[in-house]
Amino acid sequence: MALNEQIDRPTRWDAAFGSTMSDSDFALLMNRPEIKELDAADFPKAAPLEGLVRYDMKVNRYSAGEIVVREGDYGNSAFLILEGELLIARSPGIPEEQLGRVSEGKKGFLPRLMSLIGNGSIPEKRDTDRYQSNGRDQGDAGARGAFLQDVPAIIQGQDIVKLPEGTFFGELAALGRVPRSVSIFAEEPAIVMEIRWQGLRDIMKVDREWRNKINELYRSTALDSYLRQLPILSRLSEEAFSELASQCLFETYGGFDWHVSFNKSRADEPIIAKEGDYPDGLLVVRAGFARLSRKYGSGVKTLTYLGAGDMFGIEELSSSWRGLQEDEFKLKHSLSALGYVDVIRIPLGALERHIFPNMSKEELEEFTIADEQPLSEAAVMEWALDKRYMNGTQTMVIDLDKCMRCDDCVRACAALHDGNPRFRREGPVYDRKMVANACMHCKDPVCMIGCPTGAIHRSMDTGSVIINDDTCIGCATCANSCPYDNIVMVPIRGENGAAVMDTSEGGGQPIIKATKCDLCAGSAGGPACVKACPHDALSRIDFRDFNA
Amino acid sequence: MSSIFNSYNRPNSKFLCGRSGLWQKPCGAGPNPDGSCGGTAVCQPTKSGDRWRCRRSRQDGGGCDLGPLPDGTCCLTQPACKPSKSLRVKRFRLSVIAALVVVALVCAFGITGGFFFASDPPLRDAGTLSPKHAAVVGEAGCKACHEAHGQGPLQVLKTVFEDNTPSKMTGKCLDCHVFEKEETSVHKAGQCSACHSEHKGSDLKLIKFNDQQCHTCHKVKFSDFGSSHPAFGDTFPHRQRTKINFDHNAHIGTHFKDARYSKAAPEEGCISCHSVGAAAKAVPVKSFAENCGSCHEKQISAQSLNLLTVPEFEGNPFDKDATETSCVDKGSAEVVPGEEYESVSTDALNPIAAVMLDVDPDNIADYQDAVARVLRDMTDSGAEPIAKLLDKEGAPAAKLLAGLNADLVKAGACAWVSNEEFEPVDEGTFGGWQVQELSLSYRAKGHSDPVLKAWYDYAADAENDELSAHLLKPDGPGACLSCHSVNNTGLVEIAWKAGATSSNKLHRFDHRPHLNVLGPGSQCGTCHIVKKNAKYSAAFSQDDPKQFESNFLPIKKETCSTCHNEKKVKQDCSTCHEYHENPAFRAKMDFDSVEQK
Amino acid sequence: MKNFFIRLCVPSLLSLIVFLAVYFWQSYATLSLGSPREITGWSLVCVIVFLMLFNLRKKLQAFNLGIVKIWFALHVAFGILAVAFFLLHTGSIWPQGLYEQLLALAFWIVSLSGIVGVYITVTFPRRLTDTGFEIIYEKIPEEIYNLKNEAEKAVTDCAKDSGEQTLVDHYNQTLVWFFRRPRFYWSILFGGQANKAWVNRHFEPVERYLSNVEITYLESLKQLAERKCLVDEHYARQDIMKKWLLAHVPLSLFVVVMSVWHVTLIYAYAL
Repeated sequence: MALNEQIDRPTRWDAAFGSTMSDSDFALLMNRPEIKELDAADFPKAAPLEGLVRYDMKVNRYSAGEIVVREGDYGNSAFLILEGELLIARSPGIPEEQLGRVSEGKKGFLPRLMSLIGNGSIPEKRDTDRYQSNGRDQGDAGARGAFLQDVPAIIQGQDIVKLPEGTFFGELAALGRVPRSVSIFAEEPAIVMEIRWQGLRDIMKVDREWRNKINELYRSTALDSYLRQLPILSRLSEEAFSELASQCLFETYGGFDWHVSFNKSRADEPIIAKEGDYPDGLLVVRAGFARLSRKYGSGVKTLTYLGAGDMFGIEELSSSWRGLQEDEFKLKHSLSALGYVDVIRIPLGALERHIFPNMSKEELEEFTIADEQPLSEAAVMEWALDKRYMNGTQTMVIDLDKCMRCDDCVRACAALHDGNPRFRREGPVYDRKMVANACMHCKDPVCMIGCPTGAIHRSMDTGSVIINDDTCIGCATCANSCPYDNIVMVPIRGENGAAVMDTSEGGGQPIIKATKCDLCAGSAGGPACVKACPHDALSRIDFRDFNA
Repeated sequence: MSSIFNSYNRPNSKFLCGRSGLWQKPCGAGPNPDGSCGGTAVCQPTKSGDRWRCRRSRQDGGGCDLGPLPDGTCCLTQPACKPSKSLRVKRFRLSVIAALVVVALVCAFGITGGFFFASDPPLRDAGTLSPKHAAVVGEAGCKACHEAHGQGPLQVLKTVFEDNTPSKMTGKCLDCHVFEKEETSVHKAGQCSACHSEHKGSDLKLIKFNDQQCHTCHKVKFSDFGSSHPAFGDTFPHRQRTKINFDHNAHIGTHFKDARYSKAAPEEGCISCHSVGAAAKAVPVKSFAENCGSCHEKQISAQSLNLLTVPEFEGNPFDKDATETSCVDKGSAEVVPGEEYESVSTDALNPIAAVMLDVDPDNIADYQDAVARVLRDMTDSGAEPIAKLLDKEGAPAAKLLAGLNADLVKAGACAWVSNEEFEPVDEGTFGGWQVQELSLSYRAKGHSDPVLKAWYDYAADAENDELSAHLLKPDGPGACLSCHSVNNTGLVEIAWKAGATSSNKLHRFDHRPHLNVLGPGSQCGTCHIVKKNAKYSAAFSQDDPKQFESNFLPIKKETCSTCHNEKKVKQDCSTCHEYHENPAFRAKMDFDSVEQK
Repeated sequence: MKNFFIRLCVPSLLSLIVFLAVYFWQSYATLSLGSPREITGWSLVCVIVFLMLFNLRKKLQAFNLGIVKIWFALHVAFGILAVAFFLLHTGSIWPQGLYEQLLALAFWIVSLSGIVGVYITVTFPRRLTDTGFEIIYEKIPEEIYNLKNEAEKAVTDCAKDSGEQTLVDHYNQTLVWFFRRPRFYWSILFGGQANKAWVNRHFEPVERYLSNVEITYLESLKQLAERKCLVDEHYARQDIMKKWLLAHVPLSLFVVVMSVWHVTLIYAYAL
């Protein structure tokens, strides 16, 4: 048996958020009032406050014109302004070409050629030397170093909001796993603390003040930024808008970590609105998924599901406004939360005052919910929603009537990943189609919730969920969290083919890493599996299309 | 669903657990990358202090209860399996074997004639040769034409890359088949293999050529002969006048009906004179004796060729002693002084002698000495002086003077030198050379008299105006040229043989299938229709054979297409047209040269 | 299935165009006394090279050389074109000469196996899905093993529970053969139902000798047997779905190498 390589078992803070923090910065942060008020004793030994500060925070010094966050990027961190101020360019927003996005590098021609020849038969081979170097920058790749060219010109045309010192921002993207809602940049030099969301989560877990403050902040910024995007509110004047915004309620149903109960086969589905009740406001889904159903026979029949941007109750409310039959006012369907749902409730009064009067008769009449399908067809939807597949944006569906079981898809995946396939050609089957165990790159990736290091993260430019192999410590939280079993833990091997062990007592345990489909991020041309199927059996679909 | 720790779902792995082939439970560990069993032991125990510890991974259950054995081996072992190769690997190996099998086959059977087969192996049988070629090739076998045969694979490969213009096979064909003047032929074939393919068994299949191939190059295209082949030429099939001046119209219309000749006239129509048995592209005429002699024999001997006529002399050009030695009987006529010399002859010199001596025949002073010299020499040596004169002109004296008796010549010469007439011995009814009173002449013995023929040929060749004027006329000696035409096509030639020479080598016609095809009794008249008022003979008063008017109406395409059309007889191009103009053989049945190769 | 034939439309049109182009080219060559056999021969070589490229494309996954389903449709269409070119080139189905006959035989086997492969592609997946469950081919040995173990466990439990050996004996005499490994391979391939018929035939006889307690074990044993039938159906079909290529691919290389020598011979002997 070949000699086993031994490396230290990776831990959470092997790779600090920023390059090694200087002692002066550390002192700066520790003396910050927001952090000073935290009681170090409350923090668990595994994740002490000092560790959080040193390893999960970093101090950024921005020059004039430097971009802090870009609208549309997926973010993994929140910010606290220590010194100076930052500007938000709200509307119409900084033009795309000035934002300085950096796309991740693709594998070149020669490396691909070499991988053909040197595609060894050692499964999950790793070059352990890479793991030894610490201090990889976990910040937004490409965001640092991007500068706006002509700041005054940009400021002139924009609706600018200033963020003063002490402002905390960015938690929406960090905690909500959604893209940044605005672009923020520095007009003058500023010093900003950036905390990765794992650190934020740990602080929130321990300290109630922080928790309440962040949640409040979360709600208000989410509400505000989200309301602005609704089409039915687009015609409102600024005054009417703020009045309406102040009346809106922000509600959350279901748990953030809904997958825990789901995995234990106790799928909770809290009711948001019940069939037959009178609606008192329009429900707009901000994030998450909700099942639209109605009573049918002795059971409940699912019609469709609502995602971000969908409205519930508009038909019934508008018929009330139009003065129709009383029967028309009652809710015709029920709405229940699949996982967790953020809902914005616009009260009836606000609707009647600001919205309905501005809409024409035709517009009022065109709200219809999904058509009803025969039972057999509806069964697919029932099955998919029960399994929570509506979450997927890249769900791998294999048409079993075309699939020759030739495994060319898996081979192609392996070919692009040094001989290691990143999905399994097995999974639940319904209506002659299989949903394979390949990462669906969920809209709401619950796998990211528990990751201690942020190894599993959203790629900046594509939004795909990627695992950084260098920083993965093999805790298997993501694998255990994934409601669809799409993440596989693998023991890694060294150059000689033997398993890599850790340096612990007694010869060590094998080092394991999490692996999953990354949509072939490092290669040009998109996922190889789709292109490799000779029989057009495999497709990666956004579940919205599957629904349609 | 399978465990998240499943690492065995690897279709691209080269090995499969050996237990799966035996329908047992394959172990989760899977084979090692090097092909050895990876699941013999569940863990690899490690020593810590003096105790062995189980190192089973947490996902497999953590440390086991029993712990490792005292000697450090895992307690949960199973016998090693023999991992088998995956289907992909087996397929790859099969492919390699398949490729190598071909190479082995080729090396064993395809190159040298095989280790196991003494003769040419059946592996490269391209088919049997056509019988003719097979006879030529004989024992030499494939090597006769394919030089690379029987040599090693490298040599075969080298042959492929040699210069192949023209192709090797065409070169081999041309070793035996020659085509004269192929460069100037209208059909310049590229490779023989375009139309000729061997190894097809019977002779027939050697050539495959269809009408469409003709039409590819020929500008005038048409669908088939019967319907739209272009019209034949205005004078088809006659391109020039006949060699023999035989006016069919005059003979059939007039002469044969004449009571004087009706007994000799042919009774069976065309075939009385044309030999049907020898019919080919033409139906040749029978010999003079069969056809013409009964009427025309007499006129041949009517006129003689006058070789030498003793001309008038002024004064006696001969010495007294001139003939003393040679002429025995006669003394020379004494010339009494005071008597005037009276030439026995009062004729002018004959044209032939005038041409030979290059003198003016009317000018006595011009010719007197020359003639006298010749006559004197003739008394000595017979015809030799004349022969010498002919040689000087480059004429074939032997032929021209064949049969001339020297003694007779001497006798005649002696007489003439003595200024006397010669007394001929006989009347010369059998023809040949005659020495007459005052001349030396030749009369044809019969048709195709060689001496006269030689004289005519010489006259044609010499291009001497006087000679041509004297001889080359229809009523010349032997009356040869009353029938045989003189043709000037750059060279002046006399047509001795009857029969058309086709100038078009690319045209093919055989009378044989056409004879009697229209029913018994039908003869040539179906296609060869006599043209009643043809000015046939007028053409023979000049020497350009291409200026002519045929005795027969031209044969029209419609005549042929009566039968050669879609419904009746075959009508493809190769029925009547040839491709190669001058096909011939370099050597016939040349076994030796083939074997030496 | 319909989708497959729709995907074949454009490649078929393309190969038809290529065929017609070469056909007219070689017929012109015939008419103008050129070398039509060379034209059709080299066309056949080009098509065969293109067919070989399919395998190469599948190996070069990282190089974005085009979607494999398009390559597949082109491979099938040009495979038919190769057959057409073969007939055009040789002029007949079966040539003279042992070497050429061997080459032709290999070519025909490759072509026919390809057509059979297309048939399999179009019909077998549906039949697999119709069984109602899905299993990976490499996992079938484990499933067989588990079924066998469970069957033996059921039988021994029955004996323990009831004290009778009836079911054990019947199992050892008859049923063990069925559980040992996948059975009725060829019947399944040709659409027969021999496996279900066998199970029905061999479970019924023992019923009359069993008590109620044993009947329940027999029922569970029958359920295992029915599951095994499904596994067998998967095994037979997936096996042939993988193994038909063992005929197609190696023989195609055989054809290629033979063709190389064929071309050499032609140029050395006939041209």
